[in-house]
Amino acid sequence: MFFNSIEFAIFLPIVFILYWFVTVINLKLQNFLIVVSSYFFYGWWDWRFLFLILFSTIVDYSIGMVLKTENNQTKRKVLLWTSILVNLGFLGFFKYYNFFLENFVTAFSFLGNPINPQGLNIILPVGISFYTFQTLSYTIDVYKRNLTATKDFVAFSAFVSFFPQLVAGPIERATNLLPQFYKKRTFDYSKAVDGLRQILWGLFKKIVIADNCAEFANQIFNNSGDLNGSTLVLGAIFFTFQIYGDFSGYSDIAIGTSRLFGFDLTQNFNFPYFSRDIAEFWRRWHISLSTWFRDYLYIPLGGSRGGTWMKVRNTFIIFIVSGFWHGANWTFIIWGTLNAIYFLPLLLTNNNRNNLETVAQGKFFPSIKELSFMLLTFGMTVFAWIFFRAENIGHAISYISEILSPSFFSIPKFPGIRKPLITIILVLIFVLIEWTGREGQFAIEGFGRGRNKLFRWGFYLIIIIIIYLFNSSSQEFIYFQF
Amino acid sequence: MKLFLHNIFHFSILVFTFFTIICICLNLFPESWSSYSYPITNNIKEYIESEMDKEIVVIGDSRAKAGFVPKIIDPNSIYNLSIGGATPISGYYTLKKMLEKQKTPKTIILSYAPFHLIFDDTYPRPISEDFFTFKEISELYSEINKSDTMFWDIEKLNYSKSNFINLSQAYLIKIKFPTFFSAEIKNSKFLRGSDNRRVKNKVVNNMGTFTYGNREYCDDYNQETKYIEFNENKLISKYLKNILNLADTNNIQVIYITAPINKASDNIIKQKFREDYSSYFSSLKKEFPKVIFYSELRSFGNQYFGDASHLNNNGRIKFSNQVKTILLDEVRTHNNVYIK
Repeated sequence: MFFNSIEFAIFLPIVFILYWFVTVINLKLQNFLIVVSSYFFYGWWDWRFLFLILFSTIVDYSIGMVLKTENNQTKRKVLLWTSILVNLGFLGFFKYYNFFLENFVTAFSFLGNPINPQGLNIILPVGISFYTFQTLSYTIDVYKRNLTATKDFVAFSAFVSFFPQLVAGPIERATNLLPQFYKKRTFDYSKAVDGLRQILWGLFKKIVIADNCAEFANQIFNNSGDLNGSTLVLGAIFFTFQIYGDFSGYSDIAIGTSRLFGFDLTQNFNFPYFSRDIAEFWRRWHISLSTWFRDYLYIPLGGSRGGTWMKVRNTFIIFIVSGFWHGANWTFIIWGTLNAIYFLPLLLTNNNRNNLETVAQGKFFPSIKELSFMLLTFGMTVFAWIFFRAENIGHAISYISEILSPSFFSIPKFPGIRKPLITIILVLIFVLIEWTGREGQFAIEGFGRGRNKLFRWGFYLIIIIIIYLFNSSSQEFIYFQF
Repeated sequence: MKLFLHNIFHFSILVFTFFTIICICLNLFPESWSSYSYPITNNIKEYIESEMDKEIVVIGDSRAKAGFVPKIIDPNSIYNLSIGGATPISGYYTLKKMLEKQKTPKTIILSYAPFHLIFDDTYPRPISEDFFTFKEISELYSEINKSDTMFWDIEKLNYSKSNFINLSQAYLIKIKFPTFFSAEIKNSKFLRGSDNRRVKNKVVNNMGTFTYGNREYCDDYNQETKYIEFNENKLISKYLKNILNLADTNNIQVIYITAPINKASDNIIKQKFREDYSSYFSSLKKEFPKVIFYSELRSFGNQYFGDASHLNNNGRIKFSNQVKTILLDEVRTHNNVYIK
C-alpha cells in the first residue's frame, strides 16, 4: 500500500479510529492492532512475504530472550551471529544473489573458466533492507546490554512491523522505538496536528516535487545518448530533487503518521541540500541509516580512533557498504566510494565537524561564503547522484563525458518532452519554503504559528490544491526498492 | 481529541466543498476541459439520439475515422461512427445503442487497426466521455472478471489487481471524481470550449469523419511495428464476435475492411505478426461465413499518410474511392449491401 494512494487514505482513518476509540482501553490490544494493521498494510503488496517478517521477528525475539539470561560470552556471540546470519542471509539472498552470481560468472570467464550457473527470478521483498537493520539493531543492543530484551512478543512484533516506517524507514533503533510500545499512549492534540502537517508536506514533496522531477529525470537519463551536456546537467538536478522529495517525503509521511498514533520517530532528513560540506550533508541525509552504520559498523571497526590508515579504511568501508545497501549494482558502490573520497579530506584535516549548526541560523540570507560552500556541496552531490541513477557504470561515464563536452554550453533541449518550466518553478518555490523552515523538523512545521485559523487553513488548502493540480502520474517511492 | 476531530471535520468540509465544486464543473462543462475526442464521441451519441438513420454506418477506430469519407463513398447513406482509440468493445456498444433506438442499418463497415485487437490505448476515455452508461460499465466489468483479462495497458493506467477496485474506479471516472481529472484541469484551464465546438462542427459537416494527421508524407512507424507477434486479446475478440453476432441477429450485413498502413511500417512489420493476424481472420471467416472480409494488411505509399497511423487528405480520397468500389462490387452479390 502506498502512502499516496486512495487505499491508504481509507486505511489510515480506520486504523486511527480503532486505535483511539476501540483498543485504547488496553495497551496490549492497541499494540496488537498495530501488528494486525501493519501486516495488512504490508500484505496488501504481497502477503507471501509476511512470513519473512514473521520469521525475522520470531528469530530475533527468541535470541533476545536467550541473550537476556545467557552469561557465557561464547554462547552469546554464537547467538548474536545467528541473528546476524539469519537476517543478512535473507537480505543477501533476496537482494544480492543475482548480483554475486553475475559477478562470479564474469570473474570465472575472465580467468578462462566460463561457468553457466542458474540465475533465479527473485522478487525483492519491499522494505527488507529497512526492517532487517531494525531487528538487527535490537539483537546487537541486547547483546551489548544497552537494552533489556523484551518479553512482550506483541510489542516486539509491533516494533518490527510498525506500518508507518516498515517499508522505507526511518530505521528505528530498538532503544528509541521499542520502549514506546510499553507505555500507555495518550492523545496529544499538538503532536497530532504537527503529524498531519508533516504528512501534508511529505505528500507535497512526493507528489509535486519528486514525481514531477521524475518525469524529466527519467526521460533525460533514458535518452541521455541523444541529449546535450546542459540538458544532462538539468537531468541530474531533477534527479537530485526527485530522490530528496521522494525519500524525505516518505519519511515525513512516516513520522507524521506515527505522531497521529502517539509515537516519535527519528528525524531522517534535516535539509541536507543546505549543507556546507559533505560531512554535514551526511549528518543530514538519511540520518537513521548513517547513524546505524556509524554505531554498528564504523565504531566497532575502530572508528576514527586509530591512525590515518584506519580512518581511511573505515571511511571507505562505511561508505561502500552504505552504497551497497542501496542496491546490488556497481553504480551504488561507486556512488559510496565517491562520497568517501569527498569525505576523507575533511576527516583527515579534522574539518568534518565544522558545520554542526544550521546554516545562517536566525538569519534569512546566508553569507557569500556560506552560499558558495552550499553550492559547491550541492554540485558534488549532484555529480555523485549520476552514478546512483545511472543504469550501469558505462551509462554514468557516457553521461558525465557528455556533460564535460562543449555541448555543456549549449541551450538545454527537450525533444519529445514537454518543457520543464513549471516543474522548475515548483522546485524553486519548494527550495524557498524549505530554506525558510530549515530550523524546524520539517519545512512547514512553524508555518502560520501565531496566525489565525483562516490563514493556516487557507495555506493548507492551497497546498492540497497544488498537490491535486500538479500531481504527475503516480510513481512508486524509490526507496521501496532498497 | 474532541478539538482534533472537530477541526478535522471542519477542514474536511472545506476540502470537500472545493472538490465538489470541481466535480460539478467537470460534469456541467465537459466541452471546456475535455480533449478533442469528446466532441467526436459526443457526435456519435447525438447521431444515435437524432432522427438521422443511415443505411450504412462505419464502426471502428481512429484509422477508420480518418479513412472512410461518407461524402466520397455515398453522401446520402453513410455515417462514420468510429471512435479514436476504440476497440470492438466500444464498437459493440455503438451498435447496441443504435439498435436500442430502433436504428438498424443495412450494412456496417467494421474497421479496426490490428493493434486494437490486442489492447486499448485510450481506455478509460469512453467512460470519462460518458459513452458508457453505468449499466454498460457494470456489464463490461463482469466480462472482465469472467475472462480474467484486461484490454487496456495495465502499466500505463496503474490499476489495481482487484476487480472491485477497478470497477469502483470506473464508476468514479464516470461521475467525474476530481482526482482522476487533475491533468485535464491543469492543461485545459477550462478553456477548451471553443476549440471543441470547432471540432464538433467539423465532424458534423464531414458526416463523422475526422482528420488526425495533416502531414503530406509520413514514414514514421505505426504501433503494429512494435509487436513481434499478433496475440489477440480474448476480451476484445469476444466483443468483436459479439458485434458480428448482434449484426447477424438483426440481419445486418457486415463488411470488415482494414484501413491501409503506410509503406514504411509495412516494410518492417514482422512476418510472424502478419501470419498470426492472417490466421486469426481465417478462423473468423470460418466462424462468420456471412461476413465479407477485406482484412488483409495492405499498404499505401507514405505520401498518403498524415501521421504514422492515419491517412491524410489524399490518402482518404484514394481509400474511400476503393471502399466505394468494394461496396459497388458487393452490392451485386449481397442483397444487404446497400449503396445508391
